[in-house]
Amino acid sequence: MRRLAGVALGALAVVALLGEPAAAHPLGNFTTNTAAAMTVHPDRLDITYIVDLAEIPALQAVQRADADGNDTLDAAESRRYRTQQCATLADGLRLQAGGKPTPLAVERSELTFPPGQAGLDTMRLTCALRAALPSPDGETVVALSDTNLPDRVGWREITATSEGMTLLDSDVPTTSSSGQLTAYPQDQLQSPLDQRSATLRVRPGPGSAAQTPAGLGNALPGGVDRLAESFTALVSARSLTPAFALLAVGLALLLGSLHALAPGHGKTVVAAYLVGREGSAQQALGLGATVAVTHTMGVLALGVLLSVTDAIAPQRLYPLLGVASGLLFAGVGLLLLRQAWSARRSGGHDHAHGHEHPHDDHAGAHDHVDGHDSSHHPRGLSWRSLVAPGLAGGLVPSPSALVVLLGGIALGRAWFGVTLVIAYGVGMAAALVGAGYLLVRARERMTRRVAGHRPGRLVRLGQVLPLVTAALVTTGGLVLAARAMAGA
Amino acid sequence: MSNTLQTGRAPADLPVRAPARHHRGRLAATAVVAVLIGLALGRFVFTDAAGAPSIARPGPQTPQARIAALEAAVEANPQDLPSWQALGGAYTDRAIYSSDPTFYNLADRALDRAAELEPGNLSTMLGRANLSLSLHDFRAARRLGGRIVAEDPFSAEAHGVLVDAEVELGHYRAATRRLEQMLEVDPGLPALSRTSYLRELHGDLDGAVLALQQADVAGASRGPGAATVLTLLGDALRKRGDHDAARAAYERALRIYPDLAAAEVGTARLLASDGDRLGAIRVLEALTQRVPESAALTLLGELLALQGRDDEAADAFALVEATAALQRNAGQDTDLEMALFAADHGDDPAAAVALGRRAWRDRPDNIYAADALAWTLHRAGRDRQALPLMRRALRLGTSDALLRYHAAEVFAGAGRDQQARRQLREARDTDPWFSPHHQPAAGALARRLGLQAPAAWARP
Repeated sequence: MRRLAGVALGALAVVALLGEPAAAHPLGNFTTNTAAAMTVHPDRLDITYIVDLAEIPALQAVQRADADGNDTLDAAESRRYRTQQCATLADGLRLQAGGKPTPLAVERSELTFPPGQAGLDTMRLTCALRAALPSPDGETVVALSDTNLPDRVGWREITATSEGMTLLDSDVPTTSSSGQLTAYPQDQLQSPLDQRSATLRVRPGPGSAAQTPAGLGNALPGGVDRLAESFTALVSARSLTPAFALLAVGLALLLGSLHALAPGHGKTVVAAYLVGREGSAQQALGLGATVAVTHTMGVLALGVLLSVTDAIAPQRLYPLLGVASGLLFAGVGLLLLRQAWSARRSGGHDHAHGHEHPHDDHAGAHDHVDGHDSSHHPRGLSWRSLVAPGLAGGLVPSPSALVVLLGGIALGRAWFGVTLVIAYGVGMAAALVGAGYLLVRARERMTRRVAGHRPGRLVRLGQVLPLVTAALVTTGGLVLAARAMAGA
Repeated sequence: MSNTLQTGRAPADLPVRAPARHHRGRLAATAVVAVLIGLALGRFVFTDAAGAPSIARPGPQTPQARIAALEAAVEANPQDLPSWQALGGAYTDRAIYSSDPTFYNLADRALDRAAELEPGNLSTMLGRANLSLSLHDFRAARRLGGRIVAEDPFSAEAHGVLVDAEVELGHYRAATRRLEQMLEVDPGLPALSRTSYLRELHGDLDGAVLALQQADVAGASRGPGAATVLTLLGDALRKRGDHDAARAAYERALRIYPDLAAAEVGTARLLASDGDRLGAIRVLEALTQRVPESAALTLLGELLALQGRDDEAADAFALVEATAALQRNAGQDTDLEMALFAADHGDDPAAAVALGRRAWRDRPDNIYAADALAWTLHRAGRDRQALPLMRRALRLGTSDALLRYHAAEVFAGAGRDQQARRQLREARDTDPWFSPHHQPAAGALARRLGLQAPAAWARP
């Protein structure tokens, strides 16, 4: 109970730390702020260009657009203003696709006047812009440079995502850190964003590189699946109704279990470990739970670290964690190999060379198998020995979980993000435990069947299986480590 | 010092951290002082605290870039005391330069952090003193300045704070004494620009020009500081009627620091004086699209009104009002300059008088506060009440055409034609181009008083 309270307090602290975004203009009442949200499609590029004018520039803009001098904009004045402005702003966006200058056309425009301070209005102009892209055969580079409002002080933001195209590389984040200029980060002892250009590398094909919260850029390893992407989109939905929250939690559970079943991250290795070590169903549960708990803690810790400091670079952290995880696995595998080897030797001696003392051999095997925990049955799994593979399996935070958490934080819904990550972990644990249980049952049935028909084979299987799985765990671990190192 | 008009209220609005020059010179004065104090603070911090690599590097050009660099420094190392102190100064400068009150809060927070890191640090206290000046808490600034000087009698910057605080509080003799001490400690740019201002206040315009020329020579190697000194020099030369020399000074300033708003406003004033009102309007329109600064907007509105473009003039004045509303909303009272603005362009004389009273309360016995209150009373038709205040405002013999014109109107309104004529003659002989807005009215008054009016005072 006390621990639970501690966790709750910790979560509260995280929320308090990250704070609530507020709508005050980051650079003051004189600023003009812009955000360009790019979406690359197979045949076109869409840009939602938003200009947020603080009180004074908004008043200046109204004065210029107010043709009849009645100090308000009627429908016709408003239309003329936004059409003209969007055309000018589209001109000021220099777009290059595949090295060729590409014009942007205004599709739609919208003008609103959100109330500001001191009874004054602010102004928000939204321009939907579009450019046709030549259908690319391979990789294409799309480059945008924002030359608008060079001498106006303000926030400058560019984001980029893709739909039906693979975003291979981008030097801008995929989601807005200011909620599209509606919720500027409040702690003002930080430089305002000044992103005036973006370069993207895209390729035909589904999916995009992660809906990464702003500031992380390419920090996360690529290949976050589409499900995670749409999930993040869900988190960022404007209104958070209870029904929607439940749906999101359900989805997080599903996403977690899917992630656990997807290849990679040593799940197969963990499974092989379970089979080879003749773990019980309870121990499968323990292993699954350890992986899930380690993973959830890892994601939360990394999420908090990434939110509070720029000092650590996730792209450096990931390979390191990957290597550590792989080596841990390999170490476990080597240990198993040694145990299996001596167990096999001792088993073989039992039958072929009767003159040796079985008792001695048994004691020797015992020593090797469970050297640190001799109170357990030598052939089963000790709870303690579950910790190493559990740790190894959960050490590398899944990018999609991290994305979900950071998405929640970026939207000022840290608590929701934390909830979702926990749900994700639960889903993961459920899948792992389920799979582990199935494996354990399958092994038992196979053992029974083989035992029924050909007892001789069972002995051989019993001798070979631990060796095979130990070798599998070792190679698997080494492969994971090598892959992580190669990705560094 | 009269305490009856003082409350503990934290005043403030107009960014004046030092010699508050009247209306036209105001922008230049605040900008110059901002940069000078920025330079001085930077040097002070650097010499005071060892191991401040982030300050030691040559500062980036624009105020924004400087702020960004300092923010990065404190983010990388939250224990970096010198950077927190410099950041407090940079935010204060930015608030003054942009007249955007948002930055006062940031300055306040940065200085709070610095104070937490090392309570009683003199550099932090100096930053706080400068912020207090900007927020028009002149008594707090004087108190802090006094504490620093008590511990470090060789702090020229602290002496500078004391000079500025005494000037704003109307204690001109004390200010002169402090200035003499400051000149002994460090006869550099900051001391020379204050010398110039005190000379101007005492009617010695030639001496004021001389001090700035000295400062120009002394600060020739320093970029922004030299540019702002040149702008002040341009202002002083313009007031003396040396338009060509003034133009040259502004041009040199803009070559050093192309975005210096004060130099552009000075250029616009020269253009208007030389009859190129449209040229002046063009300069000011471009400037205010970039920096919607109240002094520039007021001048723009006045020039537009003289051209008969009343709608556009009303737009410019509406922006000044909106800025004032935002400042009030941020808890900062707009006083001296807004009092004059309300008297000249507002439609509620009583409200203007209320602003004038606040100006006087923040700066008891300051000659320009006395002038502002007297002028708002005059516009409300209360010239008899304005009379003693106006006399008080003239007590130093300041050569300032706008002040003299205000005095002439007040004296004339109170039936003192003889004194009115003398003041109007003084205004005419000092600078007949003192205000595009008031020049036609000055001409009308001259005709009524039987004084020969210059061409500049003809009807538009």
